[in-house]
Amino acid sequence: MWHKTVAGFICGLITITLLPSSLIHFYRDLSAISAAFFITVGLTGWACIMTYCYGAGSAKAAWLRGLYCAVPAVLIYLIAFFT
Amino acid sequence: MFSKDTLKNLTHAHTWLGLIISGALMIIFVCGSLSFYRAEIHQWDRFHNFHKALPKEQTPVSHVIDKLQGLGYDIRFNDRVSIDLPSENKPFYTVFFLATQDGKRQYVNYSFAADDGRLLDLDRNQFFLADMLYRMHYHLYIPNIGFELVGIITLIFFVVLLTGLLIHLKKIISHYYQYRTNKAKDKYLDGHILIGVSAFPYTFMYALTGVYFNLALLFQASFGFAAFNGDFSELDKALGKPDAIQQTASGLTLPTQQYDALLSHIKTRYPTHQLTYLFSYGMTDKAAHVEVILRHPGSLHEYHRLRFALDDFTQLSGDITKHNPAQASAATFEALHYGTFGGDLMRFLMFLMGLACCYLILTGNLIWLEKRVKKRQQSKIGLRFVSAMTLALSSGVLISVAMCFVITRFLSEYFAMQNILVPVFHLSWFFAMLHAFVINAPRKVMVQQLIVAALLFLLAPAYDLFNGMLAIQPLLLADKAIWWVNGALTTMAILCLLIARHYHKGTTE
Repeated sequence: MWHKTVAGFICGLITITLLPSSLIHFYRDLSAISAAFFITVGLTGWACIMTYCYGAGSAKAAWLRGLYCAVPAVLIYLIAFFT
Repeated sequence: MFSKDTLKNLTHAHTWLGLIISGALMIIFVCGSLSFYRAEIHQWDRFHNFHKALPKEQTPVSHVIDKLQGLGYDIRFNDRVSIDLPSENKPFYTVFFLATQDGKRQYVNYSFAADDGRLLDLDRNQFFLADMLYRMHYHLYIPNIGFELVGIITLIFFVVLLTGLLIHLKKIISHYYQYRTNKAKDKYLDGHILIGVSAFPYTFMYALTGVYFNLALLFQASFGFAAFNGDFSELDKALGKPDAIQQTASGLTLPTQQYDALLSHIKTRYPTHQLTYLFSYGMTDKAAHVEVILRHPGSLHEYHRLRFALDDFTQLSGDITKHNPAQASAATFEALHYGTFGGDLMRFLMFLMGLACCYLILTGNLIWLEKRVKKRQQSKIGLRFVSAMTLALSSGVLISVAMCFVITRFLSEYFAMQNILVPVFHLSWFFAMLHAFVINAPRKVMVQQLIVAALLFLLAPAYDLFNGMLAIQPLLLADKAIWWVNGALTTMAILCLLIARHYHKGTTE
């Protein structure tokens, strides 16, 4: 259960931080609306990703579920950061 | 909708997480629910020591500043002097500021009468109950990490809510009215689900706003690095925070009447708002600036922060709430969390919903404990300890809170409340744990502790009622704040008795 907690917490935080950040890197003018989006939808998303990880049957499955969310967010962020 | 395995995992997570955070969550919800009446508890607390209605003709704030300067403290230019302006619930001025005393920098507070500005023998720290309950609900009095810890507990509470919703999603409508009374276990489960589903929008809002308030620092820091490459001034701009105003003393002095003129200027500009707080930076220096907090009752954006130059009333930072999306979201969260936008009825409903969450914790813990007792392969002494701890941190917390009210009402003249209330709070639940450990029968212990909590909750209202009726202190019956607090305490006592009766029936059946 501790693995599920850590996987959900870390992958959730990475996802909800990097998605609005990518939006800011793509469109600088949207920084204010992205920050608001981060506060409202992002926090709920964090709890949802944690719940998704708790639904997994094992620690490995929980980390995989966490990575399903975090890896695309990291890739989008990298593209946004370097373009 | 979900596979059997997923539902099993979610149920396991719901139980495990719920049990881990239940103790802290109980403290957060009981103290938080009572904090809806924070101002009233201040008034209730002060009553036996001091009471006076708000005078029609109030002494101007300049008079208070004159008196404060007469006290001879060395206040630095950029240090804030806070002036809490008189209100219905607090009919006098309270001033607090950082000053050097005995070689140490520490906060000093003074109170001044609203009618003639005389110094009142009133230590803000002695009326500590309301502040203690409020602080307990957001940092549990755990030094250094308490604030963030409550944030993480709230995030886990959010997950507990979502897992609970998903477990029950398929039957959310069809089983909503199901309330089986044949077996005690079914009855608790049905009660838990019924209250959980009904209170979901409210609990969801509290989980979201709670995470935002307590973990803001953590996620804003990560956002600052990811989105703005560590440039926090850019982050502040995106979040709509006003720029820090750094000024230096000019050495020239303005008359203190400049404060009265500024306040009347603000009142003319914002006629529908109430002035609640005034923060002075620089006192009467020509370069001083003043921040005010205006309250707009009945609005979702209730509080507004404005900053002015004292010299010519130039507005240095304005009401950015409505223009910045992040600030507007934060202000909406604040209004929803405090529940003051909907008047007294709304506040009472939110208080009741807070208590409904306490019911969820009590039933959840009891279901888990009784299920656990039936499992054979486990350490008996370990189970006994976990059971005692769980009970102490559920029904024991109610005793702790009730004890704080009793001590405040009956012993405030003999002890410094700031020193004894927090130890009393913790000792009470510790004794509740010992009681549970000795008796070792979860349901019986919970019934007994709920009855004790109900009796303790009733002591102070009964004392106030008799005092008022016997005309010892007739004003007691005339004060709205005192009615609200005693009403809230009586409501808590009635709910404790109802739940105890409900469980007692379950025991006898």
